[in-house]
Amino acid sequence: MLFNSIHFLFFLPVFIGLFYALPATYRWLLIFIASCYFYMAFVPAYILILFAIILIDFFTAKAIEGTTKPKLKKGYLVLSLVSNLGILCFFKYYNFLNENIAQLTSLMGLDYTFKTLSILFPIGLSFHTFQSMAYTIEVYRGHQKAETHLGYFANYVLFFPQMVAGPIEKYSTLGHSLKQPVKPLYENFANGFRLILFGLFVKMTVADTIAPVVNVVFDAPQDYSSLQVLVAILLFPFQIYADFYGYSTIAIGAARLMGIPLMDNFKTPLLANSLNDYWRRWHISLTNWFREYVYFPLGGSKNGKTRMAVNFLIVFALSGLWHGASWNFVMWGLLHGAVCLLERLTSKVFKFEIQNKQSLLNSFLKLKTFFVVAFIFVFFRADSWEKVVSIFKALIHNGFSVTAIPTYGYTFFFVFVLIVCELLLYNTRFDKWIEPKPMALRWTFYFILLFFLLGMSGLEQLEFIYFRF
Amino acid sequence: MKKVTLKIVSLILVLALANVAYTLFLYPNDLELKSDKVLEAIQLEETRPDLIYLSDCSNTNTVEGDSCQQSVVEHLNTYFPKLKMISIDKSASHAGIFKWWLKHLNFSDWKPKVIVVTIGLRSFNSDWINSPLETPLRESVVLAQAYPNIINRFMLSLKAYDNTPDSIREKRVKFDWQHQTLDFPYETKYKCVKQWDSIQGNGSHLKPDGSWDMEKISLACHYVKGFAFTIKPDNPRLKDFDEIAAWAKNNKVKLCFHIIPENITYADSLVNKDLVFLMRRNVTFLQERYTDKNTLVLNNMEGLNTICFTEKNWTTEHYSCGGRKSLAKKLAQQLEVVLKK
Repeated sequence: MLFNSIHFLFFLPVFIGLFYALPATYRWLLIFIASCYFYMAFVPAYILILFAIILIDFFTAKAIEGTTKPKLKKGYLVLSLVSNLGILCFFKYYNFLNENIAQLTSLMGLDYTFKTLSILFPIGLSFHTFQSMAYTIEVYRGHQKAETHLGYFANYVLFFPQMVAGPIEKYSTLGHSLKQPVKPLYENFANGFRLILFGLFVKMTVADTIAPVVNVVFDAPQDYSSLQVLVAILLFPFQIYADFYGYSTIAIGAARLMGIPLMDNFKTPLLANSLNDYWRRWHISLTNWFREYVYFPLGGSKNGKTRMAVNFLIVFALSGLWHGASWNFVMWGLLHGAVCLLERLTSKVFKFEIQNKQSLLNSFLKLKTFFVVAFIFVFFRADSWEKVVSIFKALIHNGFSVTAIPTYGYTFFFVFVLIVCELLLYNTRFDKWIEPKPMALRWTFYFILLFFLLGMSGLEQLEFIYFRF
Repeated sequence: MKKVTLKIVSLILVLALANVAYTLFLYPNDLELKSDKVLEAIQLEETRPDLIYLSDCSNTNTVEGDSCQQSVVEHLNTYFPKLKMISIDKSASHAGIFKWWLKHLNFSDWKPKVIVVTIGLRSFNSDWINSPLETPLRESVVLAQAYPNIINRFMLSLKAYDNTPDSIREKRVKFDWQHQTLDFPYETKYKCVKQWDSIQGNGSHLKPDGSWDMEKISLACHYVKGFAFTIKPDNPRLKDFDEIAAWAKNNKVKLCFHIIPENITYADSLVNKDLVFLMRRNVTFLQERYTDKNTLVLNNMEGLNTICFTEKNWTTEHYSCGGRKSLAKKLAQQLEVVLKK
């Protein structure tokens, strides 16, 4: 079920009504049923994959905790990781791996044939597996007690507000919150609805108004002038940010209605002044996951600069691969890694002491970061290497004639609105920002948001980009 | 509780204000972009025609080399030059769409002499009811729904209309072809479209050299799929036409349902008399259901010869210039009493 669907707008209030009507002891069952229903609105049969993940990790975690033998503990952990990654690899990387093997073998003069898997990718699988793996790793490390109630654990993996695109939560936070008996508090409702309203606005009005412009240019860059291609390249970071930020905000808002706090996944990343800063602000839950479960176990920055550089690039390459099974995603990750590394290695040479946040230098750094992010995003947005090449070719060769840019309605206006929102919400969240404002100002904002959302949102009802990961 | 009530009231006020602002500043533009036919219906208040003709593309379709380009209504207008006639038409439209156009006619201080609504017989078949074209057609009338304009606009963004995937529509058609029974008062070899299509497809036409005439066989199958059905009370089109008839009665507007010509000669020669029987019986059913004091049913199903149909490989109701002229003449005769009042 999409958050930006009429289905969800009916589902959520009904669910919340039932949630508070039920005694706290039975709420886990309601969350479980509602989450299954929510997920099954996509491809019903894929719920079985989630059940498999839940059962594997629930029982391996119990087994890890139940044994004192380190080797056996490790064995159970490996079983959990291999199962999760196996499921992920099968659905996400099967074709990619085989295509690469086929290419490699053909270079060696060998014949390798395989049957292409043409099934729909289970929505949000990368998120479920990563969240579930985090749990077993934490149990293995002794940071988390194994859950004894299968229902609660199932809800941790299935919790519908964040099940398909995060934020990727730890069991110590989400699992704990899911068990708390919550009373219907005005504050939770008010902030929940504020976040949902703002999230819907960011997704449906901003992202979905930008999307058609980006889509037409990226679909056939050869048909557009260099200026138009440049505009599309610069618009995509706004689109993907608004899309994912909108989703995350709705997710946090929906969970808040149940009194369940979810972590912030974004902190005004468009205003980052370096790529390292960008990654502290963009998709925070995934960055944390990779840092804790990949970068640190690889040694982090403890074993010298060379080792740190290698670890850095491994993490970013994996992060790219996590997003999509193709080399351009890997390149996207590697380029981010390379620039971040460069920033770190040269930080002492070019030490920017940013005392004054309003300074020209700071603004320049933000702008520079945005341009770097935008150009690296070409590798993310283009669906193949050929497309990456054709976009850059069009950017260089098609001439800068100012022909009409295919905008849909109010594209640039909403880009401007998004930038204003970023400036207003710098390092904070919409609900926290608006709550202390005077009532008149709050309601003026609600009016503006409602007007933009109801009367000016995009007309294509586009799926959230991160659902496909 | 007082606080919550106050918030709800404030929200309603904000929504009402947003609706006013939207209606004033953005609604006309959105109508033009997404619901141009609804806008045409609204604008009839300015032109105030004597006759409004709602139709699919049968009114206007022309082919290359056609000896004239005028629509059926334009030809009809030549018989009543003093009257103002306006048509609103859109390809693949049907009663389920026409009713939304009608609901936007504002009759506060004028009324047309008559509203003519076309009935394409094929629009009752499962293939048309479940056509992939239904999604854009439904989208085109979302802004015309009976909710506040800003809510309709939001519905459009949410795709809160029938946008069933094509694969599901296809499944429904196949299901109907297999399960909807054909009611004949005599024994036939076929109980449903699937059986009939299969019989027709398994070689019904030969070329002079003795080989199968696949073009004719294929067209015969199209005719079976297009016209082999019995209109039953649960047919969704009937409900739409019922709504239109009720709307006309409530608004005290004279209504004519115009059953447009089908290539009955092809139906007979390519398939058989059984198909013609079903077509005629369906027309009789419609005439009996809708003819009353306020509503006339103008039956022109058999009004044109084969030569007047421009497409020879499909069942479409597209007429040549001669066909459109001839149909206009028949309509003029049928409407004479109503229009000369």
